[in-house]
Amino acid sequence: MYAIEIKGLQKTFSKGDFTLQLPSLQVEEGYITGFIGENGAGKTTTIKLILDMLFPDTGSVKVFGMDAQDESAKIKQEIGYVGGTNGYLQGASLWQICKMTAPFYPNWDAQRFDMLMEKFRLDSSLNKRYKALSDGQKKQFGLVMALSHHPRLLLLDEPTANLDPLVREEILQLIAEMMEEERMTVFFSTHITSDLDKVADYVILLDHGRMIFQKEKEGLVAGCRVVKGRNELLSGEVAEKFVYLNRSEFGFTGLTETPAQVYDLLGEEAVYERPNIEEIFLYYTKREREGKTWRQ
Amino acid sequence: MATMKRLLKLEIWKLAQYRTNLLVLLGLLIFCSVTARSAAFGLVLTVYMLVYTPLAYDEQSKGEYLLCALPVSRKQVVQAKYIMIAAELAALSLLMLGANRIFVWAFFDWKDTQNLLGMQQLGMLLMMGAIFAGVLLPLVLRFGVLRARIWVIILYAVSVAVANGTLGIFSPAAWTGTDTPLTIGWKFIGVAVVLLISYLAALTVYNRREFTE
Repeated sequence: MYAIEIKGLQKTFSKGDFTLQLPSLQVEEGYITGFIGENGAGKTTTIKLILDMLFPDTGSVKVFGMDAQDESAKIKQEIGYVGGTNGYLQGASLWQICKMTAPFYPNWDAQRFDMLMEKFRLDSSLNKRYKALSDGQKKQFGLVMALSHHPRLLLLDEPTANLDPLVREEILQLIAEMMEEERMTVFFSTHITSDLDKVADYVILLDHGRMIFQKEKEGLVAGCRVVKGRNELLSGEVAEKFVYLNRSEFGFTGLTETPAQVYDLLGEEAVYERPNIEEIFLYYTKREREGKTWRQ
Repeated sequence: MATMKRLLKLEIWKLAQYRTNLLVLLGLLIFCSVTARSAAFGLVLTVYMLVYTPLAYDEQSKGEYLLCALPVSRKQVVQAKYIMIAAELAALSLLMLGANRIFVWAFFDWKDTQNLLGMQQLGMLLMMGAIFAGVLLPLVLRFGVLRARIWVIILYAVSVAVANGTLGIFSPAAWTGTDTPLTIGWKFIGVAVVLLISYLAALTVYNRREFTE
């Protein structure tokens, strides 16, 4: 069973010209899946569809085999959500927010709440108002709340956006630790791809409402190479082997999914580097934007 | 039931955030209880604030994200709002009744029924509050606080006009006459019917609401 399974989904917004199309998307249970795409790609829309904040025009969204609309309340017992906005009462203290929210979850673990608050050095801020926290502290507190009821699925919508590197590191470390402890599923939407290099097992790339790929991260990174070389080496046959190519007067740089075939053609004349997720994201997105015109 | 209690507590927490404003408003409500007809004005003003405040707070805090992340159904969210408003209407009416008795005892003649709130007037107050909340809640739950505000004013005026045409809520007889226990009873049943119809409308629109912003 998948943690999240989306089939034949289409969602169009009446006011804009944006349409989200996800013919088939699966999130493996027990792993961290990174959901990447630029702003406006449809990441938050997908998460809202999972949370029953939006309804699909066609298709289905299932969480642990349950329909996201029909069994919404039951599903949310199993979900911890951290988004750009968590909806906590701005004027309430952290202690009050905990008191208000905890009773909704039968699995609420007060000891874990205390432990996580201490870990993020928020334990001394329990009487502080939510609105008085910094952006980083708000995200940390959101994560504490989301993890304190032992969710099977952690939905993270840009959890590290606008945060300084130290806080980002702390959040990512905690997510990794919790994964080790409980083997929960993490669905992690972000446009900061360096976060995924550290923690993701699977990657799903979205562009303008369409899914470009969903792949296992290690396989994806190991199977691709960024190739750099002189422009003279770039014949039509070579160019065909690339996902996308950047050309300048100094030479070309491109991403290939078939490094062995490119090596057969270019040999030691070119330089081959292992890409990171950001490079893969950029090359695939540019290819989608420009279609086949970049080859001309 | 336990979920309902938790949702009601959440609503009370939201109201508590505005405790200073609400205390001022309750003071005004008590002051308005001096006569039966000014009581109607005070009640509508207070009910407006009590319904609008938690919803406005939700909108300001993006509270829909919290409600949509909590393990509660949309039906339970709507039910909690209606239980809350029914309880508030009852509590406010009783508070006004009590305050009015004190005012009449202190400043008026007991025989002066123009100023005395009784069961008949209580029924009228509850009816006005129920119509107001009954119009306001479905609109705000469907469109959100900001988008609904103009419609709330227009539709409330229409509802009051209709209620006046059919029930004569602004006629002096409605406030000073002496109803039979049967007609008083009908008013209370009318309040329940108004809230029930409004609840069904609110449930339908809230079940279809999408949170796009």
